[in-house]
Amino acid sequence: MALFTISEPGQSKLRAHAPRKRAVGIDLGTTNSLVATAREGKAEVLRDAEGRALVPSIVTYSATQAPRVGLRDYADAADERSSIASVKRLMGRSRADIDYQLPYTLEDSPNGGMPLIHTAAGKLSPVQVSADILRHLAKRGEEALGGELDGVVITVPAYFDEAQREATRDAARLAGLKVLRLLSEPTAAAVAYGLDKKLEGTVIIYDLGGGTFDVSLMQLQQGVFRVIATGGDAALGGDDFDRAIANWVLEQQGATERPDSHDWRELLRRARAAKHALTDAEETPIEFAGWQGVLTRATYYSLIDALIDTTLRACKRVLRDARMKPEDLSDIVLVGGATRSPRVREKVAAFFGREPLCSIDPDEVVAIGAALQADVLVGNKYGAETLLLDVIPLSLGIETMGGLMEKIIPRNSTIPVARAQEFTTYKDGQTAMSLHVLQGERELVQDCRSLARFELKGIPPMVAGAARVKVTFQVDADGLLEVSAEETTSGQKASIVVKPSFGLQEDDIAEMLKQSYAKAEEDKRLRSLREKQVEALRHIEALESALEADGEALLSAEERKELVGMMEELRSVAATDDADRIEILTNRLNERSLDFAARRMDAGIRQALAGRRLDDVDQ
Amino acid sequence: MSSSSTLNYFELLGLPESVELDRSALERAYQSLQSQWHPDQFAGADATTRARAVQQTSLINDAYRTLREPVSRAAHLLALRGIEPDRLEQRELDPAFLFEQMEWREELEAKRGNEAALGQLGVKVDERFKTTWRVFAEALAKEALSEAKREFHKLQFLGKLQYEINEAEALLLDD
Repeated sequence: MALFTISEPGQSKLRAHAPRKRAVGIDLGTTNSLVATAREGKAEVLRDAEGRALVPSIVTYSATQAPRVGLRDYADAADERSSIASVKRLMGRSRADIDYQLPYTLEDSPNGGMPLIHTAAGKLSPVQVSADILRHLAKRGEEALGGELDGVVITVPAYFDEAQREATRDAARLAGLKVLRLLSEPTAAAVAYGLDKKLEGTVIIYDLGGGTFDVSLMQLQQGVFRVIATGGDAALGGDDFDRAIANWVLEQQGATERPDSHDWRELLRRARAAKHALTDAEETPIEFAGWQGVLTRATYYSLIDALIDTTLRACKRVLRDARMKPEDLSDIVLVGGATRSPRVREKVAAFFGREPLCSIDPDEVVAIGAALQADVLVGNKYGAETLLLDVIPLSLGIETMGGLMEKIIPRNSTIPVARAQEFTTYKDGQTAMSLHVLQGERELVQDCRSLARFELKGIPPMVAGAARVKVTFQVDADGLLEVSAEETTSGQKASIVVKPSFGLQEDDIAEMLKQSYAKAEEDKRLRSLREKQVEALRHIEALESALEADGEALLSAEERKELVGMMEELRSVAATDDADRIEILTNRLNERSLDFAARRMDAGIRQALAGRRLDDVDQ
Repeated sequence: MSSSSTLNYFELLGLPESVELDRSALERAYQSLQSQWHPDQFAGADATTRARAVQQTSLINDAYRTLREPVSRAAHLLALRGIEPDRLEQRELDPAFLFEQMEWREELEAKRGNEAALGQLGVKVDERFKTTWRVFAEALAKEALSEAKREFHKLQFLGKLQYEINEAEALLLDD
């Protein structure tokens, strides 16, 4: 292995003869997930025995068997109730962020992080559910490649913030995967088009998935894939189209109260079927709980136009961030299952003034790009050098006086990026400074996402404004942040990898601590049992030899019988792990044999004295 | 960042130190360094090597960004000459420009909410920026550093104004 570590940049081609490594690209989607692998610059999605590439991002839990991933039809109502879908929407989010109806029960996690989901297999964090999906996909990869994976590239929405990326990486770790890179979904799609279709120029990647929307403006040129600006909505996707239809049905039906979660699932399923039908048909019948109606394209469009307009506003903002106009673009690329909708295509084409590209299957393109990049990153070079330059989607900063957010790294900064900013104390003699790390574009702290809080202590007391606290933000190529702070006049340092607010680590640590605590208790109990068993046996042995030596001489037959009986009882109890009973019987035997011991001592003294001459005693 | 021991970003990118910059040379230098040092090149390497790659590319990104934007490039050129561009003494202020600043601000406030008017203001600010840039470049060429610093502050203000106009326009998009 050591032979393959790179010592000099640009010499990677030397590794061409290294044994082929197994790598896959995983598109971990809200509604569907895929896994793909690449060879010699050609990627293919991996399919199941029935030839299906899409794995529904649904995990069905049970109290007795292992979780099942990707069920399309439920065998019974119990299966349906214990199936968790769209878990991606919960990643890196708190309960307060989830303002829509879910067909399962959530519970606040004790530490204020991601909520726990009630399942038949107990309460699970969204990270655990995502890990189950990842395990399933990795297994498909292992079966196709014939062995354990050397690395994976997992895609995340470009608009995922720090907390959501951390949660995704934690899920991968939990699934035991080596993550080569967290790659933005639109960037992955660009790689697929760039390498496969030789697409070059300034392009917009419009990615509308099941639950997330991303738009990236990118420059593609000779293997360099560079994100200029990115935007989107981490909670907007094709699922919202289904919800819009479902709500319309309820309205038409004149329903006065929300359906229960079983009915809601059923309604969503019918809404989805209607949505798919309208891709080709002008209208489609829809029926729910005794109500029958017809959904026309016109009605459907009126339901979803506002959602599509939201995506177009994000496109506008990205163009503005990049200081470009639609005519500066060479191509528009459609990604994500929801871009199959004719209405989406129509409105995107109208907005950009040209027909968008969709020559690679919009469901598969992200996984294909991820696989191509995974193949390169794992070290299977085939000649094509690629360079992926991604950006952070949202500004990173710190809370300053008055509850304001001061940006340290602005959005759309190319990553990796490091930036430092100096702050000072505001009170005389102030020796500590608390730092609140934020992400977002808004000015007020309350409107930004809180990523972490930490404290720099041990600042030497100085007059207000004299201390120089240098706060450094470092974002790596995966978009993950590390913050450190240093008081520069004294060199006092503090640093954290940002994750406490939402990461799995805290839960993990708490769980591990609990386990180790429980372990310690168990260890202590075992140790004390062993000690008592040894103590009991020591007593039995001592009594046995005493009985053998003096039992006949010093004890009556009755006394002997009693002691022997008690001794045998203790011997049998000492073989069990009933520590309390061992202790009680040991003490009782001890008590009862005290008299015998005293008699032996007396006898011993007499014997000793008897053996001595009087003059010895007198001396 | 603004001390006399400033790392020379022109040297880092292998470019001649100058006020005007050959954008395509900057792009070439940047991409070639990025291809060498990007953490993706070290996906299989040990943690130390990877951490170094992250640091190197962060520095390259910072150098690129600093030199690409005229205002930050101007600040860097001053810093390389031992001038702290962010510290301005009272006597270094140009009273005429202070008045001009006020006028610009008033104009921006008056035009907020009007996309077309904001667009026109943007064009005007761009022109003022260009003329100021020429004065800055001449001052720097003859090493008239205090004059260069004064012009830099005008550039900084105009740059900020451009940003604010842009933000005001962006706000209109959200409605």
